[in-house]
Amino acid sequence: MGGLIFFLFIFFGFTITFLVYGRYLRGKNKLLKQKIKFLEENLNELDEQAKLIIKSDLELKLYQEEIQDKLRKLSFLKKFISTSLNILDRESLFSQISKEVIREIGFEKGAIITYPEGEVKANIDFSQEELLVIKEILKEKMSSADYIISSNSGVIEKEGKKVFFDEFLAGPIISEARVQLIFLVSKCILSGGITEAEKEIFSIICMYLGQCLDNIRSFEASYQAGEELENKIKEKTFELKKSLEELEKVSKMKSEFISSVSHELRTPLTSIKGFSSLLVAEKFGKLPSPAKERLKKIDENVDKLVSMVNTLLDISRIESRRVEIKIAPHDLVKLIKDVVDFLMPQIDNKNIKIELNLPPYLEVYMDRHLIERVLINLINNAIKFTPSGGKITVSCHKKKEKAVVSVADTGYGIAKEDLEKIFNEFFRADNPVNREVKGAGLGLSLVRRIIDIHKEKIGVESQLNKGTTFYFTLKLKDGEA
Amino acid sequence: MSEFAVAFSENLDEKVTIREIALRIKSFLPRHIDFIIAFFTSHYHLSYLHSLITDMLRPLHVICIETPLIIYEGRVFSQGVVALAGLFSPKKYYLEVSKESTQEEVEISLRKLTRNIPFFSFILSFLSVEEPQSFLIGVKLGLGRNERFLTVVSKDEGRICQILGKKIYGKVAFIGWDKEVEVRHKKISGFIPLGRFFTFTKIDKKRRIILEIDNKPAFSVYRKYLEERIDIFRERKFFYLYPLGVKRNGLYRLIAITDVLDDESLEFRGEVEEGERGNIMILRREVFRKEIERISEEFSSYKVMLLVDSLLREKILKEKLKEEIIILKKKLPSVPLVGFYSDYCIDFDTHLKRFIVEEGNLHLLSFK
Repeated sequence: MGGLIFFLFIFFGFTITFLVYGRYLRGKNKLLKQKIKFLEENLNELDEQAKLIIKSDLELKLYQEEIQDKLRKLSFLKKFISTSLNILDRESLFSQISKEVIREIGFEKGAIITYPEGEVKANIDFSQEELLVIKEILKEKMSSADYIISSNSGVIEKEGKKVFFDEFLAGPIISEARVQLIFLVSKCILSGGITEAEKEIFSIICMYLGQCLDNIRSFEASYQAGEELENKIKEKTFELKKSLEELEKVSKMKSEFISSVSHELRTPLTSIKGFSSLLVAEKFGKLPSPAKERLKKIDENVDKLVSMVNTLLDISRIESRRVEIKIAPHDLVKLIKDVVDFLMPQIDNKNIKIELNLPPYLEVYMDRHLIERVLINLINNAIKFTPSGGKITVSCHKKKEKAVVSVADTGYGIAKEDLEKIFNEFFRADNPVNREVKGAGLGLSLVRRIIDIHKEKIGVESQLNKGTTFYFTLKLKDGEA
Repeated sequence: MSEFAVAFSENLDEKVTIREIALRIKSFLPRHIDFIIAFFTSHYHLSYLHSLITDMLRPLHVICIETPLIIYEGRVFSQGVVALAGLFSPKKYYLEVSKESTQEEVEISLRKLTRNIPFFSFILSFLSVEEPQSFLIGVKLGLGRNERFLTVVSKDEGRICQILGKKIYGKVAFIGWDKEVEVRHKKISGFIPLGRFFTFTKIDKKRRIILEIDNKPAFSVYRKYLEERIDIFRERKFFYLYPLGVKRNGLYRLIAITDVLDDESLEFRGEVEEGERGNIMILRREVFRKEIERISEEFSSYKVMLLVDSLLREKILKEKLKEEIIILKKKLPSVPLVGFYSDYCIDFDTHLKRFIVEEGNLHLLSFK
């Protein structure tokens, strides 16, 4: 009995233990399954996150590549434009389409063909057959097109022969508002294939090439116009040169004529002067008073005539460079004083005041004899055109490297319109003195020529009824400035 | 006692370049120079550079290495010459050159080196070869199992040359330093694993092809993560962006994917065994930065640092590449930095207990 009880006790004990342990194990198993499920969920979550990370990273990389590609293409465009900007002929423009350029655009083959003629102007790696096939395709599509044509690769049977062509882009090159050329690129080497971006870049290049063609045309037109203008200028220059030569010839002839006439006149004049002087001096016997009076007048006029002939001779000598010029440093102040002293009797006769504004000493480069004639002429004129009681001022001062000599009077003055002509030969201004006193109008012409051969300047300022100032320059001796 | 000097010039005229470099190096090492390692870009002529270096600096040995990019201090240059010059106590370094990278030549060279420098602190070698299998066997035979070894590999032959006297040698150059020259080597990847791990189930090691992952064609690992973007990924060969990683001893070794074959198997460069577990990897700048921060202190007392960067990183990072070097220089402002770019490296795997190929890491070699 005790054994049975013990057995039952053990049996139930074990049964209960198993039941409890089984329950515990079932719980544990459930927990484990839950944990595995949780872990699996976590791993799935990890995978989802990984997907997200990789995809966004890839997108970022793609964007970066796209941006870099665009930057590269922009830099290529910049380079292409800068190298072809100054191209001024068509052949050089076509030579710009090189293998490197085609590769930069993203293709292996490239060509430029005229439209509609179909003449190939540039060809990079296209076979003749392929170009023929593409030209035929374009003939149909390009008829009125001014947009980019894109085509996939394909095979066309031509004359019983199958011709394969790669995918291509064809763009019109428009100049003067019509399609002149077609730019062709083929066999894309870009990993992304031909995208809208490629087409955009390609169309920019086509547009730019069109712009280049326009530039070339306008350059050619302006070059032609320039050439025509140049030819016209050449013709006119030739005509002017011819006229100048003729003028010089005439001028030379005039000088020679004056020179020879003066020479011819001087000999009889010398004889007339000699005899008139002897007659006036009554060396051939006493003369009746009226005859003597008239002979005196003859003698005076002969003097004037001799002076005029001498001046004419001087002018012609200077013009024909037959006069010997000795430009050397001389004291200008002394020369002015000497000339004034020489003319002092005439100044006194006319009761004119003279004022000298001179430095004590001033050395200039000059031909002393010629400048003396200039001074005599100018002061003499001043005496002649200054009424009695007037004033003559002779001044000399330094200005930079020059000495400026001026002879001013308080005479009748010269009309504004006459000032320009005053140095012309035989010109005589209209004033009361000139109306009374006859003259040849050669003095100032001689003066101007003398100053010209010194390579200096002469000028005049005047106001009617107030006076006239003549001035001229002479180069100061080194160290005088 | 070892002394180092670094110099850089980006002048295109070789003569001016080497003169600038010589002036700088001579200001640090005025009397004598044991060796010069010159890294130069393709803009320069090797033989002319060599004659200029030997004429102006007169070092005992010159190693010239052509590289697409060079590193000098905190910057990356695509044109220029950078030089690392060293002066050591007698017999504290040994240089061995081999014309060929055959197993025998490599073994003999390494045996000679270890005989001359039995207690070496580190061996650095430069190799230019497409396929390094015989080289690896040679290294194993010549060196046994040794962690203090790094080979920098350039796939293009003729990129590396060593010059002794007037002869230009090629293919392999070994430099060993005695234990008195302290050399510290570390590599940084900046790659982190993504998603759940997978198992490499079928590999053709001879052809370097991963056939299956988790018993599916290997490419399916990318399909799983890229979903609708898989076509563009495959078309544009973007697999270099996400190498695979094998976890060993808690650390990841990179497996670079070089191509996807028609049967969706993956051609790879690296070392992986069937049954090993791995993950898809992604390069993260923050991870790189943290790794640099972690190791910068132990490198701060060194006299010079030679960086061996990977062209794979350049391919992935592109313009951001220079930021890595800037980060490094900022952390190690007082250590002169020079470096170059290689295709891949060979170092010792402590788990597999053999020398293996790995691509995509930045190797830091410091000397004092």
